[in-house]
Amino acid sequence: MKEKFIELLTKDHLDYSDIRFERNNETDIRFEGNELKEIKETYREGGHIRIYDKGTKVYGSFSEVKDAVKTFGELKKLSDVASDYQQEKISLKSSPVIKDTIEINPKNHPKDISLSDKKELLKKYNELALKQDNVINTIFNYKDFNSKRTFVNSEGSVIEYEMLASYIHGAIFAKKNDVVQIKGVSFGGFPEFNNLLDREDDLLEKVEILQRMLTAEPIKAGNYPIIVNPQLASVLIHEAFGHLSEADIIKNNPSFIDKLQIGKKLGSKILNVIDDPTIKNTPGYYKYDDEGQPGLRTVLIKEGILNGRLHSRETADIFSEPVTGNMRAVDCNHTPIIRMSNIFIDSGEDDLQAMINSIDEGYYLFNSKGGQTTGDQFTFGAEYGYKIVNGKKQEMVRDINISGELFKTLNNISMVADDLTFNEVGGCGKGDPMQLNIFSGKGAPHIKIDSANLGGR
Amino acid sequence: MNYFNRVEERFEEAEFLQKAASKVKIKIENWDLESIEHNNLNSTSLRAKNDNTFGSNYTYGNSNKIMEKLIDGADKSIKFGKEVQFDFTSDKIDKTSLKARKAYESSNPPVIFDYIQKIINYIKSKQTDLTLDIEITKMFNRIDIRTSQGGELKDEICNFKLLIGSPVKGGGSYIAKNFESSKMFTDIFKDEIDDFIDQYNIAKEISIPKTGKLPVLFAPRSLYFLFVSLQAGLSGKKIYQETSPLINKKGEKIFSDKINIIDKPHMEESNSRRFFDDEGILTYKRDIIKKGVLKNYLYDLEYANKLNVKSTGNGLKKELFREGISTSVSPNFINPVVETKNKSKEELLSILKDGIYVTNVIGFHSSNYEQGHFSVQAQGFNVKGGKKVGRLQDVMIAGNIYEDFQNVINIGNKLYPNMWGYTPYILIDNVSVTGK
Repeated sequence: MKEKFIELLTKDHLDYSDIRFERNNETDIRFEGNELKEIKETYREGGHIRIYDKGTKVYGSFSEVKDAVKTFGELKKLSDVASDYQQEKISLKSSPVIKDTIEINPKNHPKDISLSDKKELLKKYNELALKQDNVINTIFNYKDFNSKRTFVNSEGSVIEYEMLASYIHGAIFAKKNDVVQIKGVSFGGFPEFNNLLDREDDLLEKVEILQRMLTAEPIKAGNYPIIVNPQLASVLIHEAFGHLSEADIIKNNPSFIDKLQIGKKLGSKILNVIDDPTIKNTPGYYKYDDEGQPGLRTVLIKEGILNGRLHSRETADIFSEPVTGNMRAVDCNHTPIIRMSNIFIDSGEDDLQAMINSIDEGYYLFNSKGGQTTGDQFTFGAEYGYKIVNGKKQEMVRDINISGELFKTLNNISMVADDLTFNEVGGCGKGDPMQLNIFSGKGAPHIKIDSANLGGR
Repeated sequence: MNYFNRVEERFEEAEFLQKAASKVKIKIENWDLESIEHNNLNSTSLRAKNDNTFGSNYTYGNSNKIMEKLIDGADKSIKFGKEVQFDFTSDKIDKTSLKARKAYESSNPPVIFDYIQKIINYIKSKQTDLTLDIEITKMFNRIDIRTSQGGELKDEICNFKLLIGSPVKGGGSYIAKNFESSKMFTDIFKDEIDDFIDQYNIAKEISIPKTGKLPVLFAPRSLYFLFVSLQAGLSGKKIYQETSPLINKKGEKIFSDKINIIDKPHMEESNSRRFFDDEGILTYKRDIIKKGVLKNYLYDLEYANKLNVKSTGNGLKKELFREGISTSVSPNFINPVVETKNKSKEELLSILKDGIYVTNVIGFHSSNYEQGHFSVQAQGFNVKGGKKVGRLQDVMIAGNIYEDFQNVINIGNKLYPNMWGYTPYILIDNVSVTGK
């Protein structure tokens, strides 16, 4: 197959082309309430072709090896048509030819666990949650995904590599006096399946918080100083800043190119932000991206100054900056786009109690309920929080949304704690159609933001 | 459908859904061609039962090897699966026609590029300092469903989508107009482009309202949050699971009596048009909300059976951020439409007088939207004396659709597509706005 692909990519002497072929095994199990909603093991294969020729970019997916030749021919024709309309020619930054094979060999591979055992594990957590007071419903998903990929390009690179993850992701619904609250649960095996075992205590701790959320007061909308816990801070840096460090987001937006010049001051000296695919046992760990480039550690913000950004070969050429190896595709139906690997705010020197003591009236907020950005505007939800009055943590609050503008918010980060923590499970949505990438990790310590716009119900 | 005999040999009951999807998407960014995407993908979903135990599987491609793995996977799924009581469809329909195929094939890339050039020329003649993005997508979907109950359904659907957009100068939000059609666009929507340019120019200034209860004019593009929340309430699945806020509310007034919502699955120009759902149940036009009163819920086969009612033909392989062959069936709107009234957008702005005009919302999914709550960042304009005076920044709106949509002042006279259906402009009073 590899030889056929190489022949296909080289016979027409196009400027550049590549094929990524995937064989994907996936297990999905889902409980909703007491009911087993889904259980399946799926195999699929398929490929994706990209052609950069005569300054144009065309790409497309195919379902089976036999369709590669036809798809390549159709894309080549489109490239010929497109070249009449392309004004500024697209080109790729030069890159070394790589031949390599990467296997993932965890001690506990999900393929060695029977479907029956996976189901029983998920059922055990689901039943434990369901029998707690006030719990009216649950959604518990188990998923494992093993993608074996072959990347071949017209320059001679041939890379065989793997992606592997298993995780449990759930939502627990509780109701009391017509108030319904939801608490998320995530256990991640990136790549060790055994990380999903014996998590009953973690689950019960989350249910206990959920019970208290039922009687908590909705937050009062307004502008306040806030402390955000590592999980929420990691989502903030991912959503608000991380996406704008992806060069494909800003490359055709002159306003952001201007605002995000390397060397620009974005925050105070205590702020350091890094993207790093080389950290083992994290969701965003990988050696090569889906463009055949080595994944590199990139310091994005160094002591408050913009230091780097995430690139493909195309955007690295446009910006005259280094290729960082951040091109990822969730599967063979999709073209790779620039994604964060593991983005994190690096540890600072402050401690949590000092942060709390420094606030007269504000909030201490916990855990993300998802977020969204448009340009430099962001909004994301927090699961719950605590009011802070005169430096003391007070009663719990809920129904919290935070919105703001990136540059103002980064400048408002005034304290960074020394407790960097990575999330167990990855996740990021980007693109149209939306690519939900589980291999995107994030981390942060506690941070204090001097002023944030909080919306309540 | 060659494999259906093989499926029938292996399972007591089965449903075989095949989709052949072709797509061409041309993207212009900052006035220049960014990329062309072209896909031809075949996918199959198999749902089957033995001894009333249910299993499912899906795959892409249709080689012998792939199909055997699909069938073996469904068999394994049944071994660990659940008992279900519903039967697969016995409906029959053939809606295939040359019309859809012709619409897809005749709009070849040079035709699309010529059309794009017309839009570019028109915008260039009016405004050159914006960063113009255009996306045109043409899609052709062939859908075939066969079941062991004799169900046999076929359709061919051609859709076109157009998006014209620009980031506002200096960063911040994104201004966009989107359009849908079942045939290639010819009209370049001059009125809408003029409005787009007007918005772009006013957005150069920032204007933030004071925090408080304000009237809000919602543009159609922003109103998907209404459909997302309402769908969660109407879903037979959520009713069965007792998490819907609309349990036992049929016949009750849940919105202002100015609100009528109809599920219109056969609307010609809609990209969501379907004559049958993903379970092969025929779809039909139904009142969902009439004069503010809840008239009907949404059911698929499974939850209709559990609740002892009939499927309403709303079973789609679709979830909040995910749809397609790999997704399980659940109750969804097919093509919800809020009925128009008689006010133009300009008249609504004049009635609004002092308030905000919301063109898009972000972050709706981080609220408890299934209960109708919304707490979102509002993008759009501050309005004073009926005139847009500058773009919103750092402004949030919050509330609950079942409370706030009781306060409808008036509704626009024209329908526009949003991501989940069609709505006119809707003017609501007394919405909680956090600004200055």
